[in-house]
Parts: sequence; structure tokens; C-alpha cells
Amino acid sequence: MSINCGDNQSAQPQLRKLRAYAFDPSVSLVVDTVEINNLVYNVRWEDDLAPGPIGEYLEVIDYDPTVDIFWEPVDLDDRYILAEQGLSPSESNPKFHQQMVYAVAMVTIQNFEKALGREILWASRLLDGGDEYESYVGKLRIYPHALREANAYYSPLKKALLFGYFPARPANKAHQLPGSTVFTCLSHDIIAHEVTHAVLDGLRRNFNLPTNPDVLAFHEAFADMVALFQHFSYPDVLRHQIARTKGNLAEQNMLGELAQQFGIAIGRYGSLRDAIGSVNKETGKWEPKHPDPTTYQNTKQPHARGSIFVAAVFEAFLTVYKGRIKDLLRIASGGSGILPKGEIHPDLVNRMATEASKTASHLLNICIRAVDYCPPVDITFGDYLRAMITADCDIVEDDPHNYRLALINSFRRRGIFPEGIKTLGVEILNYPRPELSGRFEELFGIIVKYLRDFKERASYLSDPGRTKGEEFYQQGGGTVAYGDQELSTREKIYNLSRYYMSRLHGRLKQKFANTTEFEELTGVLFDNPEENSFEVMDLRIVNRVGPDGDQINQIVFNLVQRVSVIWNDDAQEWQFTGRSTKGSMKAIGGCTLIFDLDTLALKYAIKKSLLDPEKLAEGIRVPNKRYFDEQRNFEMVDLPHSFSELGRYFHNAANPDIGEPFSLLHSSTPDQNV
Amino acid sequence: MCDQSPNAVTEVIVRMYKLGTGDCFALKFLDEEDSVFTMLIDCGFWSAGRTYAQARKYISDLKAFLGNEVDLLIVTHEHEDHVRGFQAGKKLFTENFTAKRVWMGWTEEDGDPVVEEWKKDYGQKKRALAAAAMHLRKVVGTSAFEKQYKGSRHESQILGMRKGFSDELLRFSELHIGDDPEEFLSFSLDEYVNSLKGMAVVKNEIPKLESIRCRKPGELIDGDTELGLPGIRIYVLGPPMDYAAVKQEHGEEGESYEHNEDLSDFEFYSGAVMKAADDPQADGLATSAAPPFDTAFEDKPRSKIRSGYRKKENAWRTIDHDWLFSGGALALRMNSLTNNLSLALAIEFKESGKVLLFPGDAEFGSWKSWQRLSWTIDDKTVTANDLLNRAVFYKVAHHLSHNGTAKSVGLDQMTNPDLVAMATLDYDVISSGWTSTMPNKALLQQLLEQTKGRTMIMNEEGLYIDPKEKTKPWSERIREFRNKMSLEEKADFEDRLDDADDGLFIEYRVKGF
Repeated sequence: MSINCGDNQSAQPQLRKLRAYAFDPSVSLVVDTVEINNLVYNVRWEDDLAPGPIGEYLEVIDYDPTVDIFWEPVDLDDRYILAEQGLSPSESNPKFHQQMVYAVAMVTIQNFEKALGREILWASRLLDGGDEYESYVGKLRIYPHALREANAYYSPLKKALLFGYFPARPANKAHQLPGSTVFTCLSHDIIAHEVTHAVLDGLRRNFNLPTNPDVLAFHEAFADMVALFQHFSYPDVLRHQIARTKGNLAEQNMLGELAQQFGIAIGRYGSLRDAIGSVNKETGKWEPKHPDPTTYQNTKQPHARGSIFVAAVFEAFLTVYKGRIKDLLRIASGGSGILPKGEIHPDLVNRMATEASKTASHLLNICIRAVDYCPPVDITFGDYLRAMITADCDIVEDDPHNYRLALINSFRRRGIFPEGIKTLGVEILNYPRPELSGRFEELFGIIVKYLRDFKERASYLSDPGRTKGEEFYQQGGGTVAYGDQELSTREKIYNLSRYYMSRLHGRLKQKFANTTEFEELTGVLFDNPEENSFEVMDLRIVNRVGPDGDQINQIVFNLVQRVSVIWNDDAQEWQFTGRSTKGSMKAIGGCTLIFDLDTLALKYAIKKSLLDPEKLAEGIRVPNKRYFDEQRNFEMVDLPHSFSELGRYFHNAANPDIGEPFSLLHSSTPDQNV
Repeated sequence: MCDQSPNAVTEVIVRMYKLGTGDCFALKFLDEEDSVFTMLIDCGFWSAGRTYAQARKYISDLKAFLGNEVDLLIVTHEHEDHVRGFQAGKKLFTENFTAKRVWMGWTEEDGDPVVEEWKKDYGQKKRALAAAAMHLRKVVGTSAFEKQYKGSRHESQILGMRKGFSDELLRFSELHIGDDPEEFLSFSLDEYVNSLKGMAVVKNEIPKLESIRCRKPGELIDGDTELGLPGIRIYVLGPPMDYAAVKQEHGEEGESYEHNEDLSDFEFYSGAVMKAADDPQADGLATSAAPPFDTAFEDKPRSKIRSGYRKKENAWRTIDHDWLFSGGALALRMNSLTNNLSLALAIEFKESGKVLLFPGDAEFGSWKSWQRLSWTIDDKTVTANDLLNRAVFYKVAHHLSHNGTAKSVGLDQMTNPDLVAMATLDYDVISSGWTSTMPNKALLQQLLEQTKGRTMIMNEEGLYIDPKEKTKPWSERIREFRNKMSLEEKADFEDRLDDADDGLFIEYRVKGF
């Protein structure tokens, strides 16, 4: 983006301000929350925003197939609309619906880009492999009125979000007018949730392959968490709630209560209500729930399991927030801790809301960044905890507000431990730097230089002021345009990274084939890469500036390998079978490699090992028994019950490659909206 | 028989006819060796894998067993796997056959305004389900549908999955409306009431001595004074009277964890899908089918958005048909609602207190509602919990599916050491989608533990603990459990069981005291 600060005449605005609901329309019907439901969203200015809206990242297509009607698209560049900060919130105007999905989806994308320090890419479309195996997807499609059901989902096949609408239920009279329509595309949280599914699919395609009870739960929980913290990052929403609590500041339960109200308002994400706390029937007061470490062991249904995770992160949020406002409370109460009766001073409300919003933004950043530090497949909550700690240690040297400790404690309280780790501590959870032999240091040095080359070319692309990038890019076989249509920067980056990934694949094979050290490092089979093929995926630049100005200059990519294994009952061991045979199980493993471009060294290798790491250290190459045992056990015992009833009766419908996995998860959500 | 005063019933022969997945139970109540009363509970089966001609073989045998009449005929609920036999064997049931009494659940009470209101709404949804199933079947076969997946990786599986989905939807629709949806749609909405032909045969054609009694939960029928069934009491447990319970299909946390939607959620879907399927009745639902906005907002005829959407290279992103698949959720909702309308009965031996439990296909909401019931007998309070504690025979609800048998308010309470169970599951005659949910592993395991292996499944063949690998058949596990019984127990069980491989039924004699 080029911003010319010197010349006010021609400067393009940085932001487009758009009005929309902070929650969803039902909140406006409740008197004491009506005033906080209208929010102005700050959306990055897009110069070529077409009616739809259709921009660089999104295309809102308002086609309703259930009645075969195209609704007229909103033109956000219309000067009257611009002057009014967008159309005013209205349930009966489809153009406002289009504006709201666009605004909230863009804000979500911006949050990801800010945290990741790079442009996000949608997952590519997988082709049948005639000429190409995949193709670039520039814009996520949004269909705001696509279904007539209490459901909304991300379709990995169509790279589209489908939102439904349905009649408000009679039981909901207090929050919804009887006979009215509930539009899922008018809920901030549903939009943020669905966009997050799509972003996560672009970051880690294999995170929807269920190989353990956490995988599907993670996709859901992560999406809920982004929606929740995004919400808490708007100080206006918090200010109102904080002001209402009056003298009762010490407990600070209103934020938990507020989090749950989100759950109620949107119906489908009611999981939060159970996970965080509940209203004590005797006292009529909301109380946080005391976590039970056995719940994690015993809960397998993805939404219920996911809510444990959301509750853990939310508790960390409350802990940090309480710490951050201690001084404010001391000042306000003259050190007594007891505030005078009556309303809280508006200045104090403002300061507290700012602290809460900051805490939420920081946690949102930590959560998003962690994705780069996750193994490429078979994610568990424990892996993710390690990823959060490692990512945060990488960018923030000291942690005065104790975010990391707060996270570790709340995970511990819920019995979530990473594999092989018995005591939780920052030093233990932070992934160690791999120890390499001299020869490997050297070999990786060559790889890193190659990666640095990629980064330079990509960075030039992002900055159109420097023409060198184009040359670099074209030298690398990059297409600049199709016909007379100039490619977007993101598409060029996509092309460039594919080009580099294919080269990288060749180099890795050439340099590391048949080296036990590489197998130990990554856990993938590398004795015969022609036979045991592997993929290089998700080559990405990690470019971040921490709060203290610390910079990170890294490159990350993943190795993924698919194998077939069979259990040999006589030998009581797993065996690799080469290709799948009768009775064999397909398994997937791999490794996330993170390189530091400043020190030109491999910094982390975070793996799901297909080879038994302990045996490998003794020089014996055998399948990783524990890994395969767990996967088999999961497939046999828990997986059939992980899907909703719909997924069970219409069995293949839940298959992530061919069905609509997210639709089926969603329609199974326990609906507590009655 | 009423005018006699025989001794109390000592034993009940329970025959599960092997018609296929579906219920057909003939009961003979004996005083020593003399039959004093007969009962028939349901007569249905899935049509896949079973012809009507085959079915008649079973029904003829059943008729002979009952002696051309039955003292009490019970139809638990209106699903084909519980009533199709009355259609297949219509002649057998209407000629030279009498049902002295017929019982159904209170939701079959014609003329009751609450029931009528419910039926109208429910009938519309059945219609919508039929329309959705037929329309989707048509759509998935079109080239327009196939085009959207052209060139995608796994193209053939993607299409295959959707065709399978549409087949399954058709089968769910069949379960509710019979196997001729087009004929169903040719009726007007008002004619819905006897949509299943088997049900109509029972209501209108089987000769009866008394008019049909529609039973309500909490009722208690004294066998001696009301039925001529000496020494027996019958408790009516379900269907629950309030819709909230009917709608609750699954348990709460720790029970099982699933959705709970209202049929009204599908109001808009129903209207639109009937219109899309050109259902002549769609006009009656014009409001539900209406667009959500004022049509003044419609886009211009030749707009950029329209042409962009219809561009050939964008075909893979179109969503013209995705919405039809919501029919799957509607189907499951209908299925659970109907299951919860099951007439659920506990048959008690007065003297010993032993209970035979016939819950139909009741799901969690119904099981839970029983907990609120109580009866006073000889100044003593009897609760559903007591009845479950004393159950010595359990007809497993809904073919061993996870939602058929409640856990904490169901199986956990069936603690009687003499408990035996019968389950109507047969992989040779079933809808393919059902095989992924039946049998539920945890449920069957618990049943085997509590019955010590005395769980009789209609057809054990094809049932595996590891359905993918197929290395551990359930039949083996069942044998293991049975081998753990004491010699005396085992001998007694085998003595009371008649389960010939080529037989038409599995029979078990339940001891009354």
C-alpha cells in the first residue's frame, strides 16, 4: 500500500468507515444493550472496490438460490453512502447485509494480517491434475443468503461462505420479534467465525483432517476464539458493560458474562455459556466455572471439547486483565480497594475499557501467530499451547503482564498437557532450537540463503515502488498478467512461493536423501524420497515487529508425508506398506521448519514423527508406534461419534476432501437458544 | 376371557419376527401352558432387501401363532419400519383376522384440536421432506449439477457422496411417507392423516371389536379388570404430552450431546423446496416460500454480478443446489420427532414386580419425561425408575442407535440381574446410512454387560466392533459374555431361547416370577 503523507490533496484514505451491528440485530431489541449494538468498523480502504462489494480479498455475491433472485449489490463508493459511513443498519435492506459481511470479514482478515505480518492467501483450489494440481483463489466468495436453515458454513470445495436465514422462534420473543427472520449474516460472531475457518484453511490445509480428538475441535475453537477476542477488542462495546458494574469491580465477572451473552445472542455458539461459567440460581449472580481437569479427557464431541479450549484462553484473558487494572483500582479507591457508591467515573471506565481491549488484542495476536508454530498435521491443544508460548517468546523478550504464565496456568487447570511434557513452564514449553551437526549447519545454510532470496523477491512484490521485484519475479518464471489483466500482488506472491516450493522440494531431496539426521530432525521417511514422496507446503514469510520494537525475520515451510501402515499382529508392530493394501491405515505426518534469516539458521523443527524418534536415536528405523496406535484408536473409537448425527447417517458427507465438513459440524451444535 | 377368573400369568413368550430391521413382536401370555392373552406390537420392516412376498411368509406364521386373532394390537408410531407389514400383509390382516383391541399413542387421536394442529404442521413438513428428496434426486442427476465439480480433485467421489446423500434422503422420506413419494405428493395436504398405508390398514381395515384407544402417559391399565389379562398391569410411559419433550432427541452433557431444533426452523426451507419441486400444494405455503426482502431490491436483469456468477469458469463456485441439502437436517428432525411419539409401555407382573419394557423407538426426550411420572398402587408409589429397575426384558429402542436408549435415565437404571434384551437390527434389510450409527458400540457393550450376553439381535451377521477392518465380529463378543454366565444361568437362558438360524423368528420365554 502506498501512502503519501505529504500531499493531502491526492492522498487516498487509509480507512473506510462502515456502520454495522456490534453483535446482531436481536441485541438492539433489548433496551439496556441497544446503545452498544451500533459500531463503526474501520475497514482498510480498497481503491478498486466494485459493487458487491467485490475487493481484493472478498467478493460478496448476493444470489439467493432458494428463490432464484440476485439482490442488487451495494456500491460502497457511492458518494451518499460514503458520506454516511455506509448504510445504516437495517434487517430489511439486503444491501446493508452485504455491507456488514464485507466489513466484519475485512476486519477479521486485517487482524490476521496484522498478527502474521504478511498478506493472507486463501487455500488454493485442488484440481484433478490434468494440467495443474491446484489453482490460485484470489477472492473468498461470500453468499449472504444461500441457505434456508439455522446454519452457516465455509465450503472448502467452493472457497465460499454460505449464510442461512430462518424464522425466529416463538420461544425467543424477548430477543426476536415473532414472525421475523434471523439472518446469520448479520451476526458479527458468525461472520468472524466463518471467515476464520477460511483463513485457517489457507494457513494450514491439513487442519481439517481428523487424526485425533483435538483436530476438529481446534478448528471450531480457534474460530470461536477469534470471534470472541475480536469482539473484546472494540473498546466501545466494553465501556458500556464496565460502566454498568458500578462498585463491583473486584470480581470482574461482567466480561465473562458478556462473553456468554455473545453465545446467547448468536445461538449456535452457545458452547461458551457452559464453558466459562453460569448464573448461580440461588444468588442470581454469574459465577465463573471451576475447571475440571477430567473434562478434557472425557469430552470428545468437537464443540464441547473446543469450548474447553476457548474457556482456557478466556481465563488467561481475565487473569491478565485483572493484573493490568490493579493500579487503576488502587488509584480510584484511594488504595482501599473499595470504590465510593454510585457510577464509576467515566475516565476510569475509559481506562479500564482500554486495558481490556488491549489485552484482547494482544491475546488475539498471540493466538493467531501461534498457527505458524504448529505442526502441519495432527494438531492437539497441547501443541498449540507450545506454539503460543514459543511464538510469543520469539517476539517479546520479557513478559511483564504475564500473558504466558496466565495461559499456561489456565491450560494446566483444565488438564491440557502437550505430549511428553509433565510439568508446564515457559522454558519447557518453548521449543528448543534443533542441534545440528556441522555438515547439516552448512547444508541448511544453503537452504536458508535460497529462502532469503525468496523473501527478497516477495518483499519487492509487496512494494510496487521498487521495480526490482518484478524482474526477480519474472526471472523466477512468474507470470505478470493474464491477457491484459495485471495480477495482484497476492497472486504473484502465490506464484512465486509455488515456484520456490517446487525448487525447494528438489533441493531437499538432493541434499538430504538418505541422511538419518534429516529423518531425526523432521520425522519423515527420507531414505528413498522417490518412493516415499513428500510435499513442501505453505512457504511463508514471517515478518513481525514486537511491542518493544523487536523484529522477527523468519521463513516457515512445512514438510508433509502420507504413508500407509499395517498392524502386524504376530510381530506386534506397525509396518510401512508402501501403498495402501487391505487392512492398512493411511497416516500423515510432517514437520514445520522455521528459519531465522538474520542468523541464517534453522530455528525450529516442530514435528509429528512417522518414525519412532527414540528408536531412531539408536539408529533403528521403525514406525512410530505411539502415533499410529493413537490414530487407530481415535478412528475406531471416537471419530464415528465426533461428527454430528447428520454426518453419521449421511456418512461420507463429513469427509473433508469431498463433503462439507464444516457444515456438518455446525448443524450439530447444541442449540441453547430456547 | 373376561368372565373367567384364571390364575395369574406365569410366563410370556416374546417372539421377535425376523422381517428385517424394524419391529414385529408377538407376545403370548401363558398360565402354565395355556395361552390366556395375545399381543402384537408393530409389524414393520425396511423395504431395502425385503420383498412384500417374503414378508408375507413371516406374517402368515405370525397369524398362525396368534390363532387368527389378537387380544391387543399396539402400533407404537408411524414409521414404515413399524407398520409396513400391515400393508404388505394386508389381506392376511383383514381377512379371517380380528384385533380385539387396538392401542396407539395420544398423538393419533383424530379430532383432538391440539393433535390436529400438530398434524397439520407435521404433515406439511413430511411433504416438504418428500419434495426435497425427490427434487434433490432429480437435481443430482443433471449435467448442471455435475458441471460445478468438473475438474475438481476427487470429482467422482464428490459426486458420489452427493448422490449417496440424495439416496439416503429418499429413504428417510420413505420411512415417513412410504415408498411412493409421487403418490404422496398427489394428495392434498388435508389428506395427509393416514399417509402410511400400513397405518391406514390398522386404522380402517383390520376388523376390531372396540374402537382404537389412544393412550396417554401416566395411564395405568389393570389387566385383570380391563383386559382379561390376569396378574398383569400395563403402565403408559410415553409419548410425552408436551412438545418440548417430544422435540428433545438427545441427552444433556454426559448423556449425549447433539442438537435440538424445532421444526419451525424449517418453515422457510419447506416453502421454498416445495416450490422448487413444483409441488402443487406449494401455493398454500406462499408466505414461507417468499423471498426475504422486498423485490424492489432485486438486481437489474443484465447486471455484472449476474453474468459473473454464470460465467463458465466460475461454475465450480456456484451454489444453486447446496441449499437443498438442508433436507438432511430436516429428515433427522422428523425422524426423531416421530420416534419420540412412540407409545412406550411397561408390562408388569403384579405378583413378582417383573417388568417387560417396550419403548417403541423413544429417544431421550421421551425417556426423560418418564421420570416425572408416578403411580400409587396399594398406597405405594411406583416411579419409572422402579419400573426400569425391575425390567427383566427390554426391547431395545431404535435398533441399537446411540439416541434410542437413554443412559442415566434409561439403561443405567436397568439393574435387574435377570435382564435380557432384544434388538431389531438386521444389516441385510436396512438403509445403508443407518449402518454407520447402528449398533452404537458403547450402548451394545453396556447392554451385554448388564444382560450378561443375553442380548438377542435379529441378525448378528455383518456387525463388527471394528466396522472398517471387520476383524472383530460382535457375535464373538456376545458369545464371550454368554460364556461368563454360571452354568445354571446359561442352561436356563438356552432353555428359554428358541433361535434357529433358518427360523422366521427369535423367541424367548420370560418367566413371570
